Amino acid sequence: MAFQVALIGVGNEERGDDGVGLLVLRTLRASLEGRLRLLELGGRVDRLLEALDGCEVAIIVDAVQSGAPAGVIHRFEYVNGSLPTNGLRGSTHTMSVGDALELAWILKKLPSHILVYGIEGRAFDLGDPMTPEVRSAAQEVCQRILEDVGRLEDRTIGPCPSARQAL
Amino acid sequence: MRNRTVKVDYLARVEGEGGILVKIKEKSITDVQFNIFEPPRFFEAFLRGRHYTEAPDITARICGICPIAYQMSAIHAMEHAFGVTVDGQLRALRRLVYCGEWIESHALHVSMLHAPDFLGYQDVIQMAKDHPETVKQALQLKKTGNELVALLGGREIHPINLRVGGFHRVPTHRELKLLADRLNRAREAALNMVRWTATFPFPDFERDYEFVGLRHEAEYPFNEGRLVSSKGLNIAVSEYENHFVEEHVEHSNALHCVLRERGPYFVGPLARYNLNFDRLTPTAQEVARAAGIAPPCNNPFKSIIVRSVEMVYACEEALRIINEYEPPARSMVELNPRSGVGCGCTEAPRGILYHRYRVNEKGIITDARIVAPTSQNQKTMELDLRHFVPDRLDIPHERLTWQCEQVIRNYDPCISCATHFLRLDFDGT
Repeated sequence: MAFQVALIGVGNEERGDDGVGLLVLRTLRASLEGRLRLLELGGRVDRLLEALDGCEVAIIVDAVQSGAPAGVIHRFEYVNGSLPTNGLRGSTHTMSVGDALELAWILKKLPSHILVYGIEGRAFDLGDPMTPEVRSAAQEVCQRILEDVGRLEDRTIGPCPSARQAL
Repeated sequence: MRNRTVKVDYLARVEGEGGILVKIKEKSITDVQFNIFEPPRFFEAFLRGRHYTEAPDITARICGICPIAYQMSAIHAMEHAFGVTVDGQLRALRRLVYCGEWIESHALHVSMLHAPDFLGYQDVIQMAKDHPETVKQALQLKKTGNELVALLGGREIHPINLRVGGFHRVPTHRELKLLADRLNRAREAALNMVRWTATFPFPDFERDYEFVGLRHEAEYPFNEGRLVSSKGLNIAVSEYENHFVEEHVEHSNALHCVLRERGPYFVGPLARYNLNFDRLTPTAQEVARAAGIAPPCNNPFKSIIVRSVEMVYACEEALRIINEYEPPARSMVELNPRSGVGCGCTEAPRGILYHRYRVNEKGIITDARIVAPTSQNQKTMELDLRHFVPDRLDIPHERLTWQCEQVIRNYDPCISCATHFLRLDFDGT
């Protein structure tokens, strides 16, 4: 079954740990270019809806702040149209990832399979450096995403048709 | 008299970090502060010492929503300094990419940030449950704007293809033609957006504003024109600093801008529209009249209709440019950097955006000044609150708070052009 898989990095790289979604995506770019659709959203979470358009599987990486220690990795998985908001509320962005996914769900534009990696951050002010724990967690998330993609590709035939549309 | 304090920790659906304080005593407003507490980012300072070619890409980072506006104002300022004129198809392509930015920015604000106010929804998510098709149309519009920016700008976010003198790469005829079908559908969606927003309930509120915007001899303004106002201003862009001054106020980290002669003024879609209605396409004029906003429109709440009208215009203008497009032989004009000062002012989605640079004979920037639209509207926003609240002190507190938030959202403020919330505090006795 040919289907579209998107890897989407969310965050503002000028705000310390908030940039970890972009760090993960950029780290994986060399390995995954041409295999999936790679999208950097920066802080423009409103564009997540457009990024999801036409995808069957979306892997989203963003920083989160739930009170857990910096570097803790949260993984959420939603399949077959369940409403993906648990744990995704709140954001340094104008619209949270949870908001955008809920809107996509209401509009019946939600991919059938969504994986969200949230990396717990501590430093979100403008100009903050990324904390070492978050940087290490990014490497682990990269490894886990490669494993996810491998499993997904076992179910596919060929790369996604629009892989070259990466921004 | 009943004491009251209303506090909203942050107001969603605006860009940037700031707050509002309204002090009420004996049914009178004693103080209004639009408080921008987000720290300044010193872009003007770190432009110093950089090469002129870097200004468009550095300033594009000021705003994730209107990077094209920053690039355009920087580019025009540099070309002014070097005595270069860009015309023909390259000029048309600049208008085209600006069409994309207006469509994208306006669609975001109209449908996701502003419309919920009028219909009583907390946010677009709640609104989408009752108006799914409208929200889908708005998202489609927004996507079409993004696609234009991505094609002309090289990518949707932080575009990189614009340069002083032209573009790094110009599109092929075929690439543009592929967008025409989508723009035709976007045009229909924009027309529907005008008709839809015209049905909203609008507070009865008007003021005698001084609207300021660009005016071009033949076009609805994007990149060029004279700076004019509804109270008689008519100057070249290079005279901007003779007439507009920035003031520091204690409660804001953004400078307040005023007209030296007359004080606060109003920039943005409503100003552009009132000053340039005759430059809109016939369809845009017709649908605006049918929506009941023939100019002059002095109700800032109706700016949501005007933004929709501007989306109709931008779609039609984009289609015109695409239909007439012939790829230019070269993607940029020759230019020779020289020492001097250059000014540029273009119409960002939120209003006029002024840049001025001094460069030396090596093309190095030695001084920079940037005045963003929201900075220019700050005092007018405060005055709107000062006039809006006294007649409404008897309405329920929650409703008044909501409407005050709306007053601010009428301007689609991009408080820092980057960040994320606005706090609203009432201090009432």
